[in-house]
Amino acid sequence: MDTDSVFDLIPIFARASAVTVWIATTSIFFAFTIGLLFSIALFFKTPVLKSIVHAYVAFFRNTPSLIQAYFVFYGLPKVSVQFNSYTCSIIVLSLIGGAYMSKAIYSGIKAISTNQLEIARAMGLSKFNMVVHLIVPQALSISIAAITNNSIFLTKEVSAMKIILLPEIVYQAFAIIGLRTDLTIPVAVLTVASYLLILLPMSYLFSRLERKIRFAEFGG
Amino acid sequence: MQNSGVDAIIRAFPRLLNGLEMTVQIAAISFILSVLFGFLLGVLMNLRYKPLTIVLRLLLDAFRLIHPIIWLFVLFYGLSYVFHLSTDGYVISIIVFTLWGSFEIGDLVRGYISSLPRHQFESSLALGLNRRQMYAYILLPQIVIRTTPSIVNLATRLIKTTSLVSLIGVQDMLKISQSIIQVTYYNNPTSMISFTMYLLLLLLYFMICFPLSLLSTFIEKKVSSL
Repeated sequence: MDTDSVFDLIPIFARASAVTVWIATTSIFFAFTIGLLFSIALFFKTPVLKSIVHAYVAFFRNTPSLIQAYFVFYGLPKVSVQFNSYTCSIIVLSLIGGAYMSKAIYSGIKAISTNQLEIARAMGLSKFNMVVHLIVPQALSISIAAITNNSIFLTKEVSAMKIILLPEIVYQAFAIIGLRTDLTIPVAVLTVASYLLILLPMSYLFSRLERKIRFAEFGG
Repeated sequence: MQNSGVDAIIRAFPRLLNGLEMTVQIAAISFILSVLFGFLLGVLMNLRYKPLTIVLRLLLDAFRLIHPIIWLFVLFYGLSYVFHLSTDGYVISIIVFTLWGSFEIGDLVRGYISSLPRHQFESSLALGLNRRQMYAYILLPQIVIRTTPSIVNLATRLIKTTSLVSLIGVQDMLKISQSIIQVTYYNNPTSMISFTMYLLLLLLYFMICFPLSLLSTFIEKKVSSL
């Protein structure tokens, strides 16, 4: 890298931001799916599944993501299960996110009044219809704030995947500073700027989404 | 020969405990400081003094939106580069986690104070209490009780997040287990130590954080039934 490399840094950070956004969206999607399915399993108190979900949620909420990532990336290959850093990041983040989402959506389900559930049963709604038309829409609307918070948390958590060599923003920042300490300040500024460029629009969109969904619930 | 690495872990266990001590130390110091500063910040955020509120709000958002890993790295490399100091990872981690925790607790306290019914402020003033007495005798006891579950929850998050300090060279539990893994590989390249060691670390962190989570849920139930 030569001296005018401050401008050469911008494409590097743009690519790194793209990686962050891609990993984050994929993991948020899987985390949301896991959360939805598991919270419905908790609602129906499916015997074995229920204890599995509880154990899963407790485990992932109470261990550091850094060590989960190390374990999947460096530990599992010893028992012949190997992933590249992209797959590994998506797996770890989806599982962490799934645990948080399960808890969030389940507390949304619990907030639905039992009255409604009894009426639905009395009207002869099948379990499937009850889930699709009654539980899911209301639970999502109640827990939308927690769901968007978890999504932002997951996006930030992508930076912890630096340690398993995912070429995201923080990884690139450390790599550049390792080569050129004189670029410390531009790199620090670009790192923070990249995150703000991702997170500020995201939190703006989420707050609009929240308002839309809450409006759908309560009407005008 | 495949080797599970358990013997290496047993041999290196005293070192691992030193690392645990470091982890707990950083978490505990930052936690205590965060509680102290957090309550102060919460009260400051409620003073109707616009410039102060805006500055604190911006700082809160900065600590919320930017991951501690970036703060650690900006302060660790940034301070040493700008002021030509040799930054100590231990001190930097305590600073970062204290700031992070203080703003989190500050926001909890602020949220709770502003949700208190207006008449409590007015009645205490009408009774002739001054501001200091109002906070000390009326508001603070309620705030302490109500925010305890979230603060205990923050402690678990703090303990989990301290594993990041290994990235700026602090000899915490994670850093030490990585050096144990390296030495074991050097002596025996077919060892399974990275599997066993990281599994052990996951269990150790779980054993510390899970009771705290249970405690937080327990207190929350107690508080909500008050």
